[in-house]
Amino acid sequence: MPKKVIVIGLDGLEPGIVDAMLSRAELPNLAKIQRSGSYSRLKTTYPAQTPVAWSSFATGTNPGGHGIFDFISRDPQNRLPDAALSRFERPRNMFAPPRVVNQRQGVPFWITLTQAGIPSTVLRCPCTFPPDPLKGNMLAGVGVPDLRGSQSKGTFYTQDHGVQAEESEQVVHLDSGSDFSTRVIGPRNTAKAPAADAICDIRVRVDKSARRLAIETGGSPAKIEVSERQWSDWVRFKFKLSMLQSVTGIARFYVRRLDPHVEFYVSAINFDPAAPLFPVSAPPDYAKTISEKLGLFSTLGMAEDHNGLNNGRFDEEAYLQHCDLVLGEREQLMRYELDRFREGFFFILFDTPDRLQHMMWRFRDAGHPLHNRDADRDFSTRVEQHYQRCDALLAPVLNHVDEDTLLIVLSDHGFNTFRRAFDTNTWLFQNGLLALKDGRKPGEDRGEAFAEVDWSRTSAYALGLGGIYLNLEGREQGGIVGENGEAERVRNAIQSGLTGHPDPTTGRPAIRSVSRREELYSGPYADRAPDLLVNFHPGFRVAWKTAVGGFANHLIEDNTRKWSGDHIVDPEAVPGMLFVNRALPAKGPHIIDLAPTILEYLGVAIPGAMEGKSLLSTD
Amino acid sequence: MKICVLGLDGATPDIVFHDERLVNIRRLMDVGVYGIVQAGGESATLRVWMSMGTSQAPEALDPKAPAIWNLLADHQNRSALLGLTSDIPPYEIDGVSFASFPATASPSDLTACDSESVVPTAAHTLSEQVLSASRTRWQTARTLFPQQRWAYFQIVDVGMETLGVDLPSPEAISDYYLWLDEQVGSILELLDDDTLLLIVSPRAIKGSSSNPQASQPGDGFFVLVAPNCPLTGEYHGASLLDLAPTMLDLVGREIPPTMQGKSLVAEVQKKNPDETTAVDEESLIRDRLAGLGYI
Repeated sequence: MPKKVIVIGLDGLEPGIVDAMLSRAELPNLAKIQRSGSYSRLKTTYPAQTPVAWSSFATGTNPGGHGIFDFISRDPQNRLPDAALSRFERPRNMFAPPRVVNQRQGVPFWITLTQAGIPSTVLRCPCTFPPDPLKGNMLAGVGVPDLRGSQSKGTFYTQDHGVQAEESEQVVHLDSGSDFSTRVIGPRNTAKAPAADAICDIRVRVDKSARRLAIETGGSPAKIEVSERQWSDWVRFKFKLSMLQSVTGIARFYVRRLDPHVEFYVSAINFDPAAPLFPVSAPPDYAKTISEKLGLFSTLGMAEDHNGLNNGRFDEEAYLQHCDLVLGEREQLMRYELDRFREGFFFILFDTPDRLQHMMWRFRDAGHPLHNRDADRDFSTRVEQHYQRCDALLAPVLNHVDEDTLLIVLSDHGFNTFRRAFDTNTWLFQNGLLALKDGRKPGEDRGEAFAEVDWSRTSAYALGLGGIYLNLEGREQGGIVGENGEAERVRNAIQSGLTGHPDPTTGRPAIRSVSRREELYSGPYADRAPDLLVNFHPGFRVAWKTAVGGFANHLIEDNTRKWSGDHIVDPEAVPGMLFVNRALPAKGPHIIDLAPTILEYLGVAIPGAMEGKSLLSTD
Repeated sequence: MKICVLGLDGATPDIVFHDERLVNIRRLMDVGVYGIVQAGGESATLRVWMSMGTSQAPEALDPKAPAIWNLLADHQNRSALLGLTSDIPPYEIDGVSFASFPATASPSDLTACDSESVVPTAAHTLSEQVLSASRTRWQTARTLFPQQRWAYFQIVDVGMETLGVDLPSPEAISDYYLWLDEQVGSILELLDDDTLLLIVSPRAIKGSSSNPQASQPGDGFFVLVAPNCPLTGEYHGASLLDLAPTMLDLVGREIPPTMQGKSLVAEVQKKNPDETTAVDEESLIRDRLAGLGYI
């Protein structure tokens, strides 16, 4: 029998919770793997972020070897934040099509397997958009945007005209009555000036006696009925971009309520797997084939609709329903592909545990500012219930494991609470390292993209989820910090000033340490990394606005968003977990060790660029 | 400005203008001008293409009349004609001319040729042979195109014309159009801003296995895109003879009196190709980051 490797990714599963549940015998399948082999903590990347860690999993290198350091990157020429995982390229001329480029560099091990003639099935791994040209099948994961190019942008429809749009959403005000027309908002057509939204007209009839909406979708299916507090099946819409060009996308409806106002929600418009705007699979028609076999499915990188919950457009029950829909699609895909899996490498990532913990952690943390706020149900064990659901996913996997199969179940990082937000840009301002124009103070700025920063008097700026960049002469446009002694002085000032910085309300330290780029990263892309990385204590995280170049109102403030759990703290505090159906001679596994382990097991030489060591050898 | 002509001999506007899967051609239609080209009575492939190149009626071609590829070629910027189906010897130009391709020829065999003929060695009687020959032709174009700055570069795919004789299934025809669109897309990758692109089918082959008698020429079509072309959208009333004068007009060359057609842009002020659309880059970035959750 040919050797096989099956890897199941459970994004963000926290080993502390796993330990407790194992001791209570609540995770029988993970326990079975542990008994047959090993279970340990898995060291993660700096920072402990999903795209960073999974890119290191794929390439067997530290982030300096693959160039993904954060969800957010910046262009030193204008210091504007941008999505770091893939790059949208405008057409270079009137003949060329628009294009997307995967920013992850390095060589993922499934390409090494391809070169050795070994097939792979890689499903939903982050940073695989556009997909890698591998032997086998690939479905892209985190990094695939919606049809508007956003990470996830849904639309809230309401007859209450006082409702305004919140974060990352659109609001459409509906006519009153029980029979009205409105529109589904599709992609922005930037080829035309001025850019305009492509739309699809829909008609809605309210059936209050049956407590549902009947919707003429203008798409496929042409008519649907959606009950109150339920999600619809997928609807395929066709958006005309011009007289000749159109694009299709898919979305779900959720009916929030019919009284006192009719309110419903349309999810972010996903790429249609049968005709995606950009390829989401390799080979390109693989996504179409899957949709024909199994039905339509979410193609969006961050598929679980956290924005709708964050913005209060639906409640926890609706969010959990949506999570179940996403997980169900993924499980169906896993079962289908495992039934076909005969040789080589199989990987699937379940993102839902990460997204669910982000939104539901406050119910299990009595110290969280939003603990049990606005919820009429007890969700305190909802995270643990989800861990059990994840464990149940492994039952059919174990049926596919024979003596020639190496089975690995891992999480890329752990999880913790996010109670307090630290505004690094405000700290830089308060310590004379960042200046605002015209005597402004933090909180009086426009809130993003460093709009009010006086770069001629700024030595450093924070951007992304923990990174700090020096305003370096010769690198940043108009940079003022010289490479030699001045840069070192700024680095030292930031490291010594931030390390151990206390939260004034409790006296507890908010920040454990600050790492220098050169301590963390090596390799061909290390120079793209932030100059410094802030390692927060559990419970703290970088403030929301800091991440996009803005300023919060206070240096440290409560996190009052429902996004209440996080993992972007000191990576030593949030390791992942690793279950393998083999006893591992090597100790202290790191996520970069998985690629060489898998290659060695399948008999393929480990490329010299990989830094990790095979966990199967004692060397 | 250089000219690139992609000839889809035998392709019908009934499919090209209506099949939304042909994303590359439709994108060009969206930014350029397109329309029907009325079919003449001529059925000989060479005469039809010579008619387009010289802007002379096919039934009265003057062998001394200059074709557009002759007018544009000089010592620095030459012309290339790939697959201008012809009897032997091939049509001679100041540049490269391939009459047709054997199904087994590889591009590396062909790219070294200069003013030489590659002789068809097998009759294209099977669809796979047609596809193989077309593959070779497009691959040759992709290899040859970047090798120098051509004044005029033309490839003529005769797959539809040949398949019309074969009368394949509608599905096979549909697949072939999709494949042709991909080939067009692959050529688009090679073009720069300083290019005039013409996609043209001088006449359509409308054969079907259920109705062999219908295998008669129908109207063709054109799609023209150029950075200075003032026309967009559908153009009614264009003739095959108008295409060469229009291209000469757009690249700023004189239209010789032997040409019988008219420039479609003669009375219209040319666009300034440097005009660009201002884009709110910050707004686009905001959209890209929207919904990340962490921010």
